Amino acid sequence: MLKYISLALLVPLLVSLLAVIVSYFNPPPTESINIYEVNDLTYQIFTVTPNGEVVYLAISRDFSQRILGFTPTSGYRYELSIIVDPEIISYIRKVEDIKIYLIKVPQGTLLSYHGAIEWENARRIIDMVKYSSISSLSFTENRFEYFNLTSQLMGDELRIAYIITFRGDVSLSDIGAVYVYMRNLTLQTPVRWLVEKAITGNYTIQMQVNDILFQIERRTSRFIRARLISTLAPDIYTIARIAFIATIIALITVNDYFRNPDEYRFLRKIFRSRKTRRS
Amino acid sequence: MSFTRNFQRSLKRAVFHASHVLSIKAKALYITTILISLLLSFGIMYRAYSIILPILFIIVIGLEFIIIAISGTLIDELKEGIAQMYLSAGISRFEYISGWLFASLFYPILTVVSAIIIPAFIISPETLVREITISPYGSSSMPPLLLFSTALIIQIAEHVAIAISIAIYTKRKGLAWFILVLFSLILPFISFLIASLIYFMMMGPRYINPMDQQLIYSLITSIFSPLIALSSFPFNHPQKNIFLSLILLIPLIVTLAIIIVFLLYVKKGLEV
Repeated sequence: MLKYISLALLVPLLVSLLAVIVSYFNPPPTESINIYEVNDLTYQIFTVTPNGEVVYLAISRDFSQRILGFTPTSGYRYELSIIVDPEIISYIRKVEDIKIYLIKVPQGTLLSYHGAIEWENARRIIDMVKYSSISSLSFTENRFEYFNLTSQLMGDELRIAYIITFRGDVSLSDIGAVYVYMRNLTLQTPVRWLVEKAITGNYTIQMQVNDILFQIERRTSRFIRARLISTLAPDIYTIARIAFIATIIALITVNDYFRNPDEYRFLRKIFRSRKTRRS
Repeated sequence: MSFTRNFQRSLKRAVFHASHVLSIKAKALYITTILISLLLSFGIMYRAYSIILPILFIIVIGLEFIIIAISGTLIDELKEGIAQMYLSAGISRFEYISGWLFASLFYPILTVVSAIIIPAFIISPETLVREITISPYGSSSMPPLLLFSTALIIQIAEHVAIAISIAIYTKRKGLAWFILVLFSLILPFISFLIASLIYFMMMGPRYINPMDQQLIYSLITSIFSPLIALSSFPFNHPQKNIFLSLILLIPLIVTLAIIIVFLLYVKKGLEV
């Protein structure tokens, strides 16, 4: 009877072994989910530095739940890839610097906000973004950054933040705006003037700035792609588990063989026939 | 002491008879094992969880039919008097029937459970104890495979025990097939109607909560099909542990009661 039991264990083991070998030579397709989409920015501000440069800061919504909802399984490596398409430069001009950050902040730290704020307040937000960033990307080349999800993404909020610094003479058309709705404004109006007006409290101009922020978001979002990628990566533990099951089967079979050697006559027959063929 | 020795001797003879039955009938079981192993190991490796669950259901129904086909030979042996030949060789009726049950119930369950658990253990052990989210946004999920295997063991044991005991009692093989079709194919649909009716009577037409509806359906279905009950169970229910235990406990008690009554009948009143 034990030989039947060991056979019932041996068949799934061999099939699993086959699956591991097949997937080693023919790995399953890399799976990925988008975790950042257009209109995912919950925090967008414009500010003007003391040097006269216009700074645009955008922070995405928290996407940690999207990642944690994707159940990781062992034998796989899960990575977060953030790609900045260099084509972004052809749509926004007079850029001095673009920095992309992956930030990890405690729950409820960032509230939703859109508008123009003073440099002193904006600097605190920028410092917070830099302080809480896991990694940052430059836009000048198409770079990939990978993060080990298991160790880094538990508990806190995970967001993408990007800061674009423009030259002081940048106009609305340069930053990607395609229309204005105020009569006294044109697409050639300097952004710096508009932001300074909004900070002083002009409500209509504040609304115009908010509208321009959404236009920029639509322009820039599609050039930043953040995806969760999983790739097959069998480890030493897979082999250890195979060895463990094989040992159990071997122990059962050897034990049964010494108790009832007659039940294994078919094996002797096979080996004998091979010997006779060789001779 | 003598009771233990007698029990050991009985067990030895029953196992010997079971291995004799298996030496003739085990091929279909090996094919099922290979099929399930292939499905599970490649399915887990390529993470095709949405395909695994429905195909496993079909395979389990297929396996139950194979078990009934194997056990059908037992009814033929009892009917045609071949059983007398075995019984005259020195084994009791109880040992003879236990050997058959061992070969046609215990061994198929072992093969299927090992075909589920071993690939999962080798390739991704988390799937044994953790609920697996099928889609990235958590809209549907697969129950942990250990829980799934437990439900599968109870379901096969229950269906086969009821079908075989009634077939042996009436000496009619066709009745076993009918009971199997009734339990695995017809009753799940009828219980859905009953669950909807109960829910309507309890809550009225105004308040509809899909989670409660699913729970009532799971609890009713668990009496005869714990596997379907588990697959329709609302895993996000706040008291999920209590209801999950109920879903497994109800059919387990029914199965054990049937097996005990059947073995008592075999010992006291079975005529060959």
